[in-house]
Amino acid sequence: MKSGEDVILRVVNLKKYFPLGGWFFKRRSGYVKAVDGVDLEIYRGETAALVGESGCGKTTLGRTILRLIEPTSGEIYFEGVNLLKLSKGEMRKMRMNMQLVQQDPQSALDPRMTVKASVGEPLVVHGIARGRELRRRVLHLLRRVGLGEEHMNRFPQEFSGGQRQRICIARALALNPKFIVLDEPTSSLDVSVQAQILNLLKDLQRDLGLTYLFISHNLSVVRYISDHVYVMYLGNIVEKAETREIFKNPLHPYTRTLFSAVPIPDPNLKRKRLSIKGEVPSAIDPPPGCRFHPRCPEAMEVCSRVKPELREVEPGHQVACHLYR
Amino acid sequence: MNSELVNKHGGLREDLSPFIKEFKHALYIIKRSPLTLLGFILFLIFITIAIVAPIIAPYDPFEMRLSEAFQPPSWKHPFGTDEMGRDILSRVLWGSRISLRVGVTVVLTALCIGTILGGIAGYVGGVVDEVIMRITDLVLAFPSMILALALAAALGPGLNNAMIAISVTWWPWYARLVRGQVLSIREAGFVEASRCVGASGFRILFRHILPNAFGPVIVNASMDFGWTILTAAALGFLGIGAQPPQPEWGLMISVGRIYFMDKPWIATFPGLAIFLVVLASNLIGDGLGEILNPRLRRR
Repeated sequence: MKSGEDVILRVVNLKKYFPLGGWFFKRRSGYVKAVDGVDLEIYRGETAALVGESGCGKTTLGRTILRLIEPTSGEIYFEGVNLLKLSKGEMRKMRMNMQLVQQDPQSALDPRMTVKASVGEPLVVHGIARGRELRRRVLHLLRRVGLGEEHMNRFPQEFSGGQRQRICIARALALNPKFIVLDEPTSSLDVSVQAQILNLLKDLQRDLGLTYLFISHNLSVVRYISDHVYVMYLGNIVEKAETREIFKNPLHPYTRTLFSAVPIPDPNLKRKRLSIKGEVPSAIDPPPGCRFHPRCPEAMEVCSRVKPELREVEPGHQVACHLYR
Repeated sequence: MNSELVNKHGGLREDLSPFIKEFKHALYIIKRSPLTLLGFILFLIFITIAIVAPIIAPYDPFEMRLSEAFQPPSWKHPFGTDEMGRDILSRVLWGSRISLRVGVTVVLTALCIGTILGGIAGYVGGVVDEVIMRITDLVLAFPSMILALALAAALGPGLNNAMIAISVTWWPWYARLVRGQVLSIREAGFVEASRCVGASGFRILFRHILPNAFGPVIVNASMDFGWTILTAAALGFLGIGAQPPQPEWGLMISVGRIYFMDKPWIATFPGLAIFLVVLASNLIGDGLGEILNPRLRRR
């Protein structure tokens, strides 16, 4: 689409291992490989969606990109700057460019702060505005997300879920960021409210030229909002393509089963339901070779030995699977 | 036009409005629960008495008139007189000042030490947490009354030493409480959001974590207020707290105990005073628990 070649965020071989077991008395018994060698490229002005089932590491990846979780290894370039090389102070400045909207607006707002204080906090922290100016800016932000003056001095617990999410979005916008990680921003909301929030996000993107990383497991939402889709399974990206392409032509067996689960609003349409057996294997001790092979309906001998690399099979369509080479 | 709007609505009054709303909510809860109201009334009376004791006390609490010793309650001496002929009402009234001082000092000291140590332990974690909490456990493992007794005895008898001793045995409870609170709040979404916005660790701890951790701490403090007074009285009773002729309630009971069978008023009135203050502090504690819980607010 409009993306062009301008890469705003590039992630190279990012890994995050959480050590298991504690300190001093207990021995370290292993690692949870939540993110295990992920490469991403997000273009300016687009929405990249990150999909996958619960526990596959989507959220950890989002947090790690923002350096809210320190990665174990890898590189993150934001507009060409390697975030992991920045000092604490430099990173704090850098945070003005990249923000987060969390999944649960219930806990995302400090219950002891008024909306004004919460939304204004970024401006206060960076010394951008105080007093009247702060008030003016907060009001502007609230109007931007469809709230008004009368909401400024209320506490979060006086609002509905959708309104709270609007407040969180206003806070994320306060510093005029270029890039926002949206971590399942609509999954805790009613369907009708979901649509409102999604439209708000789309409008904001259009008006402010934002770039989104949209983390979700809701494929209908992803189809509606995103330009590119990354499919994640157990800490790895298994497929990447443009949204239209991946919905039309999913290649990886995991993507195919995942996408066959999307309900289609047509009662007469018969289609083959693909299903996979078993549970997601534990990320503590992931299976060797392709991580999906124990559940894969098309597993071959090679899959249990060699880990497939992400490879371009069609222009712009990458997949990590031994079926395509 | 826009600037007009700011002038009309901006400024101090608006900044205060959420707090006024909070205050109204607190009043509403107090009004709804008669026991909390009773607690606040008793406590207010206690504070007032402590402040105006020198004015309202009918006699000098230290003045001895041996000719008037052991008088039962009468119009002249509403609470009677003790073995030295001192007016017990005056002594109980003056005693409120000592108790207020003990309660405020000990609770504040314990709360400050405990909050700082517990806050750091919970927020920093790792080795720091481990070290602070093991020290805390060490103090808690010892029976607190015996530790206070031993400390007070080692420091020498006297009210100030008793207060120090009680504070030393009391802070670990706050350290534990605050640490637990901090540990759970540290993981809350708004802390992460604040970090993401670029707030410093200092700001996060003092603007987000501690204010949210403080509800249970305040509740605990208001209950402890009574308990520390009781403990100080116990030390006074055992002879290592306040020293004679101070009008300290525990000390008064200790002396009155000897004559309790035939002259019960000497020990009874200071005992009642302790009872009422401890009761008030507990009732307030219960009420505050409700007022300070933001999740229970306005639905």
